[in-house]
Amino acid sequence: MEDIDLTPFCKTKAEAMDFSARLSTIVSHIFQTSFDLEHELSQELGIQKKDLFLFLLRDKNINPSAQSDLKDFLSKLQEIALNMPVLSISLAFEPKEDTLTFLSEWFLTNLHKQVLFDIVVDSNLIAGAAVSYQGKFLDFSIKPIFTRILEESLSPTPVAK
Amino acid sequence: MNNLLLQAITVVANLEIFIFVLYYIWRLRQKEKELEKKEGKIDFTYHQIVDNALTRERKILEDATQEADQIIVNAEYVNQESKDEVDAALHKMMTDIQKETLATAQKFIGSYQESLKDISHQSINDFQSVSKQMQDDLKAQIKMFHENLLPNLQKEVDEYKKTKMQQVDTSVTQIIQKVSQEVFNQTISLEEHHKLLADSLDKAKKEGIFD
Repeated sequence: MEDIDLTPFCKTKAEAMDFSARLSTIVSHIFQTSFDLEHELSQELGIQKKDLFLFLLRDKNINPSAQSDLKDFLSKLQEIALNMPVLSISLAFEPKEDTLTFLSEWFLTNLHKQVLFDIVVDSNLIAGAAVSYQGKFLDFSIKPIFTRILEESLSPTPVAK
Repeated sequence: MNNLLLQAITVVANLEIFIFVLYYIWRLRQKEKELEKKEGKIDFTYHQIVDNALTRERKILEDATQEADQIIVNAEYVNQESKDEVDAALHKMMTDIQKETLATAQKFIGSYQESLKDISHQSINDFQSVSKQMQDDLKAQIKMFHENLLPNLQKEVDEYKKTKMQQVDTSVTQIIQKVSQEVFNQTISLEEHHKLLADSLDKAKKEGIFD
């Protein structure tokens, strides 16, 4: 169960906290007599994510009717969502869903793990990204290169004697 | 008999009384005549006295009037004479005062002009000396300015110009940088951004950030 991919449900830290809160709501309704899992998932996650969630349940062999198993599974998902490592990344543009998906896929493909993104938009970076992860920071944007080139262009060249 | 006696006595008494009364009346009449005589005399004397008094009064009044007229005439004469004398004296006094005033004024004007001349000479001398002093001070200050202040001032101006030019250069550079960044940012497509992101993450992986 450790390799559960929660990418379709949350990619950023804020989304993970929201996802966890919605799971808490579903958990609180599980033991009600009128509990309907599909209805609850539609309400909390939307139709598209409901289908993905049901697929996940089938993939992990969780019986939706078994309330205890379902509750344990949902609690586990909450734990995973809240404990995922967070990557602070500064971008030069406002990322949309496809950019977040691109980033998530890169991590799954290259590092085989999911991380949550803490996105900061900084247009001064121009392009590329500045990354901060578990106390380490590096600037891979093109700003330093751009600044260096610009300064070289604006500085007068010394006249050869 | 007694009654007759009594009547006789009564008659006698009455006769006596009657005689007495007649006599009294006659005496009274005499007295009255005397009194009238006296009264006439007194009246005549009174009128005489009054007439005398009136006469004398008229005389006195005439004399007094005459004397008063005389006095007035004399007084008018004296008054006119005095007036003429006073006028003459005043005229003379006025003339004297005019002469004296004129003399004093001329004397004062002369003295004032002398004083003004002295003061103006003194002022001109003082002014000349002060001007000379100021001229010398100014020359010294100009010399000091040229020797000390002007080089420092020139140096400060040069430094200021240099600082300002550096500030202008920095501002221009910042503006160009800012504009270039924004233009460059907007010209990069999403795919190119993704590619650059992937390159950045690859570099980060190689640097060992994700270890």
